Amino acid sequence: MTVDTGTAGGAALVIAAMAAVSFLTRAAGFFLMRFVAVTPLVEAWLRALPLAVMGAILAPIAVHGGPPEWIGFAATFLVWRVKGDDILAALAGVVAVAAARALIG
Amino acid sequence: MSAIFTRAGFRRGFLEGLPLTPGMAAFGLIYGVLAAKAGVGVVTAGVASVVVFAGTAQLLALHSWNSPDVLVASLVAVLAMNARYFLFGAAMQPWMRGLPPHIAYPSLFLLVDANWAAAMKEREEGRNDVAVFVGLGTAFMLGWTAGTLAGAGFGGLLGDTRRLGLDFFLPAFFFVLACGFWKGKADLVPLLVGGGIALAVDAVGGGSWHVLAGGLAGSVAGAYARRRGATA
Repeated sequence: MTVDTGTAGGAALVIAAMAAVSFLTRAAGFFLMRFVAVTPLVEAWLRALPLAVMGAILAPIAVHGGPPEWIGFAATFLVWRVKGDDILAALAGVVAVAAARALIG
Repeated sequence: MSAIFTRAGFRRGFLEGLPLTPGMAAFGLIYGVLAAKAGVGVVTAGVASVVVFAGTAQLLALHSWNSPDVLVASLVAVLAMNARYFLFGAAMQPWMRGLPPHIAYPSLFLLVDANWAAAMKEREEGRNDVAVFVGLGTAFMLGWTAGTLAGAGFGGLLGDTRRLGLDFFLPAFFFVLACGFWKGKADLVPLLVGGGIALAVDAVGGGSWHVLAGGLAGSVAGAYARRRGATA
């Protein structure tokens, strides 16, 4: 199915669908927990999910990126360990990447 | 013990959330800048931030905003990025037990990482006022949306976002979230399997399917690995 976000209707459709699915992800686990028995395997799966998703997002960026991205990850980690603030650490990564790209391209 | 929902709780949550709003606004600013660059209008970006309220998902969805398969790709982005909320929502159930549905579900609309973590802490400390969670979420949404509008409105003045490293914000943010989730060697399985499968799928096709494929494969592998470790 193709949608043209250049039209007001197309953009509204995409945003509305995203909003519906976004709310569904927030409410579904809450709703289903009234019926689902959380076996140890289900609990282990739910616990592993966030890291699997993050590994899947980060691996292509780390592999296809170059020294600027690697420096960025290092700077992010450093600030996270020292300051313990997620968003501040990510902003530090942005600054490091910008600096590295300016210096070594 | 049944959950409660009080005005005083909302007030406390909102005030505790205020120190975090500049960070939310900075995140929103980056989304707004990149959204404007992708051709999303200021109003559209602002509305998206209110009704979708999922920064990472919205950032990822921008990659396909101008492609014909934008609808499918955007929904996959939301599912993949918000998949953790299934878990968060499930964990909220015991804490919110006893609240009527017309209060419980609108409250969950505001669920994000930070107020979920706060809710788990409230529960740990024996407090049961869900309005605290909603107050926090309201403060976050105000910061996030204000940042989005500012970024989309004035971001054009910034110039080349890649030169400024703004495209690195999302990977960096996920990286620290992963560091926070890291509890020990057992977590290596979902991380590595998820990353490996994602690389393989990414090499074959475009879009964001590698996130869903890696996330599913990595989490299933992680679940079985953990269970074997527990019974061995």
